[in-house]
Formats: sequence, structure tokens, C-alpha cells
Amino acid sequence: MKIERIPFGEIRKIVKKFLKEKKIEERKKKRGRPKKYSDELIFSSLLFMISRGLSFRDLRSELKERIKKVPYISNLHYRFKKIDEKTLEELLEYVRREIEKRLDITRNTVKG
Amino acid sequence: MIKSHIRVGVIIGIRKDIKKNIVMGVKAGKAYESEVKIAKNILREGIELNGEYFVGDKAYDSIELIKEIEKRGIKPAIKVKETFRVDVRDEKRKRSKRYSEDKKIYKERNRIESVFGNVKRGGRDYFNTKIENLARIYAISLFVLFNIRILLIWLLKIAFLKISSLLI
Repeated sequence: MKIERIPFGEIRKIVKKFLKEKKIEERKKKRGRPKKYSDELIFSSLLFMISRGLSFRDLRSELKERIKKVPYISNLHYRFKKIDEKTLEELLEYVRREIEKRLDITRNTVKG
Repeated sequence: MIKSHIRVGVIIGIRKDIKKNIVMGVKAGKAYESEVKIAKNILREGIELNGEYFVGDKAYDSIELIKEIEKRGIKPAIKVKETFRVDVRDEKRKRSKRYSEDKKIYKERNRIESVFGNVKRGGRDYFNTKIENLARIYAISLFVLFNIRILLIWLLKIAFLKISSLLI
């Protein structure tokens, strides 16, 4: 499997699990305008955009085939800018830990 | 046209038993930032490293980095710059030089280069953005995708193993 062929659904599943574990979604501010789109959608659309090498305009048209409500280009760009580098690094570590868990399972099954 | 650069430091884990490479830690820095500094920052943040050798090229021959590696019980196999040095005096450098001269150990560095090749070929080499911060986010997410790809391959393998065990 190439990086280009990673399906959007799989990316979304992994990001959802990660955010659930970290409880980033639960942080709600009392002040200001509430966010229209969830962090999960923004994270997964960022990863999807980079995996396919899409522009913002292309990303929107691709997302329209998969989701009902798609954020507009300016909204996507604004939210991408606000992503913290550390959360992405944590996501990388989370995926790494998941891989190592799976490796242990396969080793046991092969032995058995 | 304006071009600006960013530098990305990566620590890659090589698993010999399954012949797979996993990205252990990533940090994006400014353009032309010292690679040693980035590597130190990754190590100080506390990633779990429990390998046998730390293989690196001549850019990483700083004594402080070797100290940090040896603290974790890992043997450094980093080549030493000898073109502008009369002699290698420091014992830590001598030790890392000795390990790096072992061809069996240093041969594994090709796997590190292959990861970069995969990321650049499968993903991207450059990003069209004005904002430097966004470029950093894009670069880190490329390596996240690399790990996700490996995870999905293993999930497929597990599913295949389960089906084959049911058939038997």
C-alpha cells in the first residue's frame, strides 16, 4: 500500500481513536464563537490532502463525495494554521504504539 | 518566486525481526537549523528508545548527543569527521567510531535512507505555502502518514492470519 492510497475512512478512524484517548475534543471554551467543524474532521482532511497531494479546492471537491457538510477553503486554511505541532507529534507516537501492539499479536499467532 | 526552507529531524526505528521501519519521533525546525539540536530535542522529549545501536552519519558526531544516547543504554555507531581533525581524542567519539567501522552495523543505514525515499516519492518534496508554520505541519503529517501506512499493512496481515487459521 502506498501513502497515496490510504483511504479517508481509515485515516478518520485512527484520528477519532487518538482524540478520544487524549480527550482533546472535550475541551470547550466559554468565550468566543463555537467551532463549526470538529477537530477530527480537520485533522483527517489535512492528512488526506497531503496523502493525495491535493490543493484546497481539490480537497473540497473530494470531501463532497464523502461527507455531507464540507468546510469552505478559508475555514480549512484557518483551522490548519491553528493545529499544534505537538498534537501531530503525539498522533505519530500513538500510531507507533498501535503498530507495536499489533506486532506482538502477530508474533503470538505465528508462534501458536 | 520566493522559496523558503524548513528542516525536519527524524528518528527511525529499524525492526530486524520483521524487517520494517517505524518512525519513532519527528521534529521540524527552521531552515538550516543544526541537525544535532533537533535530534537532542527529540530525545529530551522522552521517546521510548530501546534498541541496540544508534546509527547516524557524520553530521551527528557531537559528544553531547553521544552522551544522551549512551544514557539510554544504546551503543552509538556514528561516523566521525576526520578531515578537519588531526586526531580523534575523545573516548566517546573513539567508541562510536569503532562501532561504525563494523560493516554489519553500519550497513543498516540504507534502511533510513529508504524511509526518506518512500516519504518523498509517495508524499511530497515541497509544499506551496506562504506560511512557514503550515509547511512544518505538512512535513510532520507526511511522517504520520508513513506510520499509518505500516499500521494498515499489519492490520491486513492480522486479518489474513485470522482467516487462514479459520480455514485450517
